[in-house]
Amino acid sequence: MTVPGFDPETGVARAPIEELESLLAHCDELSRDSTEPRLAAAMEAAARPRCRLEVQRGGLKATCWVDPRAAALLVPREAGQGELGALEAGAVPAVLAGILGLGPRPPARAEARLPAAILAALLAGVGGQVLGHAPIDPWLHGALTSATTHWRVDSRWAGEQPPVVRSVEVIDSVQGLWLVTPDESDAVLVPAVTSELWRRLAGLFPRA
Amino acid sequence: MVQRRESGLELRLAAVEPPALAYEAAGARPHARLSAEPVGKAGLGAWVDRSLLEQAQDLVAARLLHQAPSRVAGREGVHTVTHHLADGRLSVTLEQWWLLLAGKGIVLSVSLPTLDVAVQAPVVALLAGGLDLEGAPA
Repeated sequence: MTVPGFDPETGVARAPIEELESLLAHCDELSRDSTEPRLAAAMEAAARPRCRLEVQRGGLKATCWVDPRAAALLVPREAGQGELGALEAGAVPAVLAGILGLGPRPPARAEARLPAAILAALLAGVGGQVLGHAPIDPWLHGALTSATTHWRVDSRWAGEQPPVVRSVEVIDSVQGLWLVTPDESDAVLVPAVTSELWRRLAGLFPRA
Repeated sequence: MVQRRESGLELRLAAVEPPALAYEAAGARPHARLSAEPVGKAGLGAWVDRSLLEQAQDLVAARLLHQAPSRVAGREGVHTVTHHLADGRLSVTLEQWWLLLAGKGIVLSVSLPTLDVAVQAPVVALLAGGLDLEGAPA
């Protein structure tokens, strides 16, 4: 079994996303049979990950399987294409920073709280009013509907009882950065700086 | 230990040695360093910007993640966080605090494997918060 379009130099395979997903269903077999050490290590990570990251930034949804040695990263691209990257585990934070577009940004000016359903609607661009709730403050409405990037990373650790799931969710708005934290049916938006977000992202990875 | 270098005075004051280090054997050893260098007539912002550019050229795949004004040892300063790769493949986070003192640029630099950043955050905060330049010329 081979991975089409795999470039041993870059460690990336480019192919239709459905084809790559089908290959990942056979990652255990690929980890044993691949003659490319880099690819074999990545498929081993996909078969027995120490953690699995789900990355969402705007419309982009990427998945990364990480073990202590290597990682496999699946990123959908336009027109039904996709990229499957074979990485060293130590490179994953750098790749994550690139996907999320991390860089110096100011914190948002104030904390805010609103129903999670309204936040989801605003970020999806499909309104933002819910019967029974007062209209949200105009400055907050403006911040959440103009030039906003919304990203979220979920990390599921394998082999932990109870299961460990850690998440970092951020809104990067014209007002600055907010860390999104759930509180029952509300979303609390806490002003944040990138150094704090980086510490939280680093905490998504098991250390051993 | 005090070392005098061409670029100025460098003081190595502390080493962070947490147990169970990620990547310990692979060249990404955690450390903290306090350094001083002449800055000429440059102001704080210009010196930090220039130093970050020079630093980015020396590091592999450097990415500036954070840069913001900060109080450092009771003075106006700048806090930065830079990510880079060690040995071309290992994720390292370099957190720095910059300030000017008596015509010199003082930098506290703490370098950690990124996987240790969350766990060692209290140690790093202690180092930064404990920086005391009391008695130094203003």
